[in-house]
Amino acid sequence: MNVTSRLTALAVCGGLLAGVAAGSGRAGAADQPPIVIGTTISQTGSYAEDAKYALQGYQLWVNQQNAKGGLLGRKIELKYYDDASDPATAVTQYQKLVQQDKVALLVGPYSSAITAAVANVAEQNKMPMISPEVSSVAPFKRGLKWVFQGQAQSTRYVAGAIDIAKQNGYKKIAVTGEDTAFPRSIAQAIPDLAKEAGLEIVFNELYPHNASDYTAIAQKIKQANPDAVFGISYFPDSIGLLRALKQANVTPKELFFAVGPTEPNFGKEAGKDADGVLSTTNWSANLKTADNGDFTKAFQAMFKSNPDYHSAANYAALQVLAAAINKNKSLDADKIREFMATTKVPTVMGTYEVDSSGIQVGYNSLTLQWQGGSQYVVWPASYQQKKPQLPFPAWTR
Amino acid sequence: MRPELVLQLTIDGLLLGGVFALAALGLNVIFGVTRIVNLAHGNIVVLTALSAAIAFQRFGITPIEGLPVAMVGGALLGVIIDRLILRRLPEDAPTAETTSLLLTFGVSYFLVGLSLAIFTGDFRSVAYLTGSWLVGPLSIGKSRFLAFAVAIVIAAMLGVLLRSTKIGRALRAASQNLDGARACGVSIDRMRTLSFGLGSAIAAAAGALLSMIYAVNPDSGSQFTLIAFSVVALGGLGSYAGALLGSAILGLAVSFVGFFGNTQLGAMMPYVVFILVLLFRPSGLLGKSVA
Repeated sequence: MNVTSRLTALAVCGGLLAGVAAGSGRAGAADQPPIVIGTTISQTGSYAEDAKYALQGYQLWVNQQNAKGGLLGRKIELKYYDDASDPATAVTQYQKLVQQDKVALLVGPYSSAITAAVANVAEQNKMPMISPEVSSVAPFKRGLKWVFQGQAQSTRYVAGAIDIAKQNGYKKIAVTGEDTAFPRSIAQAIPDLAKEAGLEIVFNELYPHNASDYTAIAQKIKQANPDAVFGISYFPDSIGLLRALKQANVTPKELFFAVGPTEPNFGKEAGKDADGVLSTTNWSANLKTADNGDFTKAFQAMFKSNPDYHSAANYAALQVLAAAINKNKSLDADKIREFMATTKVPTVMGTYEVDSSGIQVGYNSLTLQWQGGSQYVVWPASYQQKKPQLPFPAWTR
Repeated sequence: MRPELVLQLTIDGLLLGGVFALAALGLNVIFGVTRIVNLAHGNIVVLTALSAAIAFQRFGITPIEGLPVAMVGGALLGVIIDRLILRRLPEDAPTAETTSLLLTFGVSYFLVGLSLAIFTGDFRSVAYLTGSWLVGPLSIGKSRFLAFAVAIVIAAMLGVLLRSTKIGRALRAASQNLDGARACGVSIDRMRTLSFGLGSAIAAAAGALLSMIYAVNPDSGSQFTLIAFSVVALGGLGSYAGALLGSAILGLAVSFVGFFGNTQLGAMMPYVVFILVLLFRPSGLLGKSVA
């Protein structure tokens, strides 16, 4: 037993555990401390279910990169707090990450609402932050310099549905959806997009969160007699609307719900009525994007479940960050910002590219259709797994 | 305005009223005897709806086939809640009503947690009888019609039970005057447990049928409690005919205001009506005024 270990033993006995652990760690492992990347994730609260997939995207990338030796010869550590789906909590935690934990880099939290709130922390501290879970472009319209959108813009979620309507000559569109931030941002963008495509909006009305029933709105849509119905709806209201439209015998030629039917569960809960329903996603396992096949396989191996587009976007955000660091061979904030603002980077989501406001212009949304109980990408044509089946089938009774 | 449109909105409103009534009748049974507003009522509805979805998706058992089992399960749950928890409250304590309210609130949270543990937070629904019968220009939703019909049958059976059977008379006696009933040899304890079992069985029936209309997750319970409470307050706490009338009025209000006004306003109707009733007729339409 040499002097050092004898001292170590003594120190442990004396209760100086923390100091010794740090000391011996430094002596044993890598000669440099890890690069710490800070973020918050909604592990509790209303966003928890989706945010779980987002966090897993970050975790997978960190795991893989560390196995390859990290970045700049240093290990990477992801430091995150649970923001409880609350923007104010997240702001405090980002301040703590910067001032107290002194993290080297920041990446974005889950949801548009929380990103909008914590963007100020990145701005004030001049720290570049790619944010993979902000689909609303509103935060970027106020002139952010250090924050970049790492998710497809929410207005692109309906691009496929509109293009499909245009191609098939469906002129009259009815729009409905939940009256909360994200659905509203899409619903408000539809009239302009429809006009460009030469379509006419014949109905446009939102319903409140936790609406008790959708019968009245189904009757109104029936009176408007549209060719296509676009619902900007989450999961429960997608089911509620689908049932109400069926029972009111509304028979559109195209039926699209923005996000609810993206969940694989939709087919199980909606049964045969799901067939023909169009929905949207920003990523698919069959995309021929950079490293996409490896990403999907590695994700399945690590988490024993399939990734969703949140996982892919968060993974892609760290791909962009790594590209910035590797290119500059440093953690210099100005250089990373410059890279993120001006460089196109191939990622699992597609080609990362932002405009001068930091708004994502490279990533696109895909349109899915439920056919025979499964989801297939039907739009755009370049990613098509199956051709879209139109018109929407008559309701079976 | 075209007459078939008015007729369609009336049908929609009445069928929706049936859905509301189904959620509300059980709450009323329990209140009638125990004077306890069971805030866990909606959670029993949701727990059964989730079970119905699993039974349908895994084993192909339709909610109609499963209805008897669901009602027995609901009754057992109600009895357990009463015997294990509410029974332990001293019934003549001056704060009994507040305490029981808080307790059922606690039970409701417990049931949310239990449902999350069993069913996870996923939304579930039963894809059965989702279509409608078309009669000329009118459409009548099958699952809604079924909920409506079952609500009427349950209300009628309750009426017969309460008026024409010995147990029913004892239940009514207990609801009118605890001491008087006790003096006549009615076991108040047994009547309380019976009403909890009966009320929860009806909540379970509601859950099984509503699973065909809505997608629910464990958090959806409070919505059904709120609707049930609005219906009961409108019709008169403890009055079964009142509950039916109240739900018909609310259903029609949601249907017509939702159509001619907007959906936001329509969705507010149950609560608007609830506040108006409390302000102008606190005993409800058919309730006996509280002296």
